[in-house]
Amino acid sequence: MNKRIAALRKQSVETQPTISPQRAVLMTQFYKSTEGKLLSPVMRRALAFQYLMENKTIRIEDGELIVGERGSRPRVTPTYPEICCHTLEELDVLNSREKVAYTVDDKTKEIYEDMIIPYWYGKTIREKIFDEMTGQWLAAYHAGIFTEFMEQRAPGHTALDDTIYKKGLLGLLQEIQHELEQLDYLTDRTAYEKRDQLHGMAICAGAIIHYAERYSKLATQMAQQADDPFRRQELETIAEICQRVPANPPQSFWEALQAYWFIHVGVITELNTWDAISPGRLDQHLFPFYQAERSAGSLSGEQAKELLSALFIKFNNQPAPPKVGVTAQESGTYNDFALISVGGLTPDGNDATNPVSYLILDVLNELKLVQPHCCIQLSQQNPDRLLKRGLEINKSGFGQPSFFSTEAIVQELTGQGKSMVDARCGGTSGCVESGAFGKENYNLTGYFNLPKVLEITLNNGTDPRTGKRIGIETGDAESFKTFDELYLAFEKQLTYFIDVKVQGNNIIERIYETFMPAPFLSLLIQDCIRSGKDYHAGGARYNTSYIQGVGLGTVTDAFSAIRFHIFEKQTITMKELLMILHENYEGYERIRQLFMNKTPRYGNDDDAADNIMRHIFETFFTAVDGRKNMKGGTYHINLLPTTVHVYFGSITGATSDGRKAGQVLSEGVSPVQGMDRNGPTAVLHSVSKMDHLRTGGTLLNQKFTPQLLANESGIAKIGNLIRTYFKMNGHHIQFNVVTADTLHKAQAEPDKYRDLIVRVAGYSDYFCNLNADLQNEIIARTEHGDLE
Amino acid sequence: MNTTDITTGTIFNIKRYAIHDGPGIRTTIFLKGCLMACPWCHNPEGIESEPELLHRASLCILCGDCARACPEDAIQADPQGLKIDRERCTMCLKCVEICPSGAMQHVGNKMSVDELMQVILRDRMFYEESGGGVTFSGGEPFLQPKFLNSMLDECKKQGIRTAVDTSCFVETPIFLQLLPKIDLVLFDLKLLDEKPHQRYTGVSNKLINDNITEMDRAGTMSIMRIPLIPGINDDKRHVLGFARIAATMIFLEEVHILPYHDMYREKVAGLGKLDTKLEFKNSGNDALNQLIELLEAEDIKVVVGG
Repeated sequence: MNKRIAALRKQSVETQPTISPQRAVLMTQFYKSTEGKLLSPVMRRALAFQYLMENKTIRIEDGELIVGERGSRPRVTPTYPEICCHTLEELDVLNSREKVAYTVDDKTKEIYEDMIIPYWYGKTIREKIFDEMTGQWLAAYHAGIFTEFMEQRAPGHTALDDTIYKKGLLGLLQEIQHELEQLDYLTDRTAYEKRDQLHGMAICAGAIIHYAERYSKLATQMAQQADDPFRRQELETIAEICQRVPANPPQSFWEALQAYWFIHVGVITELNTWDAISPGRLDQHLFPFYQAERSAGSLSGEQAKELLSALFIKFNNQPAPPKVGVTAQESGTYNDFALISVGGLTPDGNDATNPVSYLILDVLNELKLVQPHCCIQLSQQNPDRLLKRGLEINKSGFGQPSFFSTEAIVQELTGQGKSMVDARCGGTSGCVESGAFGKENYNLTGYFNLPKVLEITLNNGTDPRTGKRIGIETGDAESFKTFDELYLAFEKQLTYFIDVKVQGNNIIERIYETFMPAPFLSLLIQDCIRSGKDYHAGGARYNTSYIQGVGLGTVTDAFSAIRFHIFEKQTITMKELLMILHENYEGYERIRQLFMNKTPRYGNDDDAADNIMRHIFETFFTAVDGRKNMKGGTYHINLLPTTVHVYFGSITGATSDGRKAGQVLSEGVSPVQGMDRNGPTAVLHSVSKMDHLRTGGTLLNQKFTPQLLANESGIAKIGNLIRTYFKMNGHHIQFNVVTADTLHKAQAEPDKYRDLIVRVAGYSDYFCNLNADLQNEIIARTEHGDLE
Repeated sequence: MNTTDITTGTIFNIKRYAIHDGPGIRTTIFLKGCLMACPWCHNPEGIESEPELLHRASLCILCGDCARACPEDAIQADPQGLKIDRERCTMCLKCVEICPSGAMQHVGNKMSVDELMQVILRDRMFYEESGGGVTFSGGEPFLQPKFLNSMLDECKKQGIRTAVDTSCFVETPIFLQLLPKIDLVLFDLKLLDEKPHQRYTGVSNKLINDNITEMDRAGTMSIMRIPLIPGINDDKRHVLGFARIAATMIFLEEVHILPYHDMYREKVAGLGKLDTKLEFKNSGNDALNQLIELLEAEDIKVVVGG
């Protein structure tokens, strides 16, 4: 990377995230000034957005090529008191916590104490949500059966298509005008609401254009004062670009990047949407500009790379809005989860890989930032070169890019009723969620703790951690004569909790629709303009709600142990099991070992365990899939954890897979950590026994040591693994290429690392099967490799 | 499968996603029994042809279940470790069955051709994607010729490519009879001279050398594997000798050099066998790099760790 990019990167990486009260102040001023006015919620939100974009601080940092920030400077994050208002105590926690801290200065705290908290107390969405929830919902929520995404952050999880590059906002304004002219006040009783919605969207479009113009003026001023003629010219160019985009369709590579970034800043300033927003198929969107300029000779490869790097750094400049409470535990990270997809298919079904795909991967590899994330949406039609490039980058050990199957995504989306072309233009955003980019509101509503449901079932509706009854009575576990009786009770318990979760979701969806419309985001997602409806009110072409199952591996193995040892082998009785779990295996290490080593376990291509997994998958699927949400759309399932398997683990007692109370659950669709002992092909077989195509995304982690990717042949074979997994309809796979540090931990806690494969001498083996000396020798080798 | 083949073999390990035993992604089947007794053998549980009891001390939680379960009173468990009286052991396997941590292992399952094919076929998609297949290793796979023959036939029928990893210490007629059914042979070269070969491995290398010559004459694709044992075969003469043999072979695809490691020692102890306690000291010769240099000068592909 060149000097400029290195400096911008350094600033982004080394600046401690800080909370700025500016947005909260502006929002409070605006709400106070409109108190009592006859404004519909959407108009109020639109005018609020306009007020923010007009008044928020703007700056251009030294050497910047892409401009615009969510906060006032890089690594500064605003707050969103209308959604959730931090208390002074919470601000203190954020300021002082050991990990993922945000600096909060005294001035900010003062402003919060004097102005923000007094105004917003009792008016936030978060308070509204908790006030509206039923006792059943609250009991399940506090027990850790599920989490709720929308209590601190607004619905998001979406990605853009190519509309902004093709039409510009002026084009969208024309469409709004057209729709306004079509309104039928004579017979359509919703015409008036539609008018407000369309007006709101128009105000937002104008607001972001105006925001860009402010940057244009600033750049012009700075150019006049710039001593360096080179920088002066750059600033003049920035001024021209900001004058043109995002109002007009971009005409150059640089303009396209800047247009996207203004839109991105707009979305994440309007509300604190989950997963920010993703650019989607960025290689597809940028390629026309890249190609035109490269053939015209107006853009060098180096310039393109520099500009793209500048955009990447912009993502990294935006630490996630800080959360509190349970939500902080499930996602304790600065990462805001914006995802860039490369590869995949064109709308007409051909290989979509282009030079920008590789350029994006080069920048990813060179900058190695926490965000944005990159994934390869690998199609059968994509060349091996793309796959290999992705694996080479993985070799450095930071787990990126991840790999998704385009064929799986397209089948998932068409299976949900989307058109083939919309599906091909879609992809994944957030962690692994499939969506029709630019056309879908696909909302993750919360994680669902599958092992906890088993725990509640074994305790007849009571949470043993608190002694409170939080579920339904499904019978005393000791009374179950057969495995099927137990399973039926689990099914009932699970369906009950899904009912509770969905009831809550329905209320929350209506709260956002009613009180917190998002007219700027609505502008960007088809068909909100055509339908005159908000993103939160079902305006998008497709509207999907997801519930994400967590701990599939843990619950499968727990069931497997019960079936095998209680109902088949009769090694122990149910009564004994309940006692052992209650005692957290204290004094029962022998039984724990038996559960871990002499029980069919998921992830080993053993149907005895894998069939239980399929059964649980079907139960979860049946309980969720096909339910109607409040936006005219449908519920589907996902299987991904982010980091919630740690939180869920912490509130889940000992489980019959040998896991002790409080320990993490399995993550995604991966087997329980260390329990897959037949190598990666067996894992992929086990995992592909579930029907990924009926989900909206599954997450699979695999762990390899760097030696396995050390040469061409090793990389090719991992490429073969991926291709084969995708042939078996797998959705996603990502790799941990582990370091000496991990190997040290593996020595200390071998049970957790039983699946770790290392290269030994003439062969590869499980690390934990090696004697200590050899382990040390391999650790030494790895460190040596790291030093090179 | 259409046919039922009741031929059985004794298998001591099956490794899926084997990526160093030939091209692509493979399943390696380890056949039990070998007539050689190299003290550095990293699969000592593959030497005896009969099933054995292997105790992995690193996995043992010393719960004493095995001692209590043993009808012959052959196991003594105390906090220092486990002692097995192999003379008394009748291989009833009650200890293996009861062991909760999997430390007590039975090495050497009897498997029929059909049973083994079912395991092999599970990863067919991976072989096809990667150009891989199945590798028969050991032990010495040619010591179970009938079983190996049936397996090779069945693999051919199923369209799965085969490799055999052998010491070449096999009666030549058997060797030559099976060779045409094998897509790739991986063979070991250990010592050049007959006497040291006899001393360290227990057998002469004459038959081995003859078979290697015959194999190349028969046009069998092969990979040479050299376990580089410090102080045994890492001197200049061996290095030159290995390179010379490699250079004369027409159908040799690659040479794998396998640096020495001593992970076999825990297994030797766990099998209740005497560790030779041989210390393999580096002769001070940089054999690895010399060998790489010589082979590459002959345009032979070298893989370290193979």
